[in-house]
Amino acid sequence: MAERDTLSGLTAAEAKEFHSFFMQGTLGFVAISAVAHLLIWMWRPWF
Amino acid sequence: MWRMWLLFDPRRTLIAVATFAFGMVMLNHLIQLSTPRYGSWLNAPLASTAAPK
Repeated sequence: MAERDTLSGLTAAEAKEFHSFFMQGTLGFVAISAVAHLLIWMWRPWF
Repeated sequence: MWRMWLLFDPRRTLIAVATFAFGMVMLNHLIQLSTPRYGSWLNAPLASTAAPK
């Protein structure tokens, strides 16, 4: 078993791996939201 | 930045972030739908698809 002396119980390698997936998901969310806002802006700009 | 996962448990954090994001998204959509600019299509029938009398 890998050395687990962190508060969350993850090793540094696991934390790095999870972080890359977490960032991919976040950027995907932001990309979809940006496209949606662009479409709304083309429909009815709010400024 | 990745070091935060040495502090916060990913499972609980994911659930918390997802719940918070869902709440904010619902709040913002409902707020926008309550405005005349982005919500008027709700009661006024669309010109092209007028409701049958």
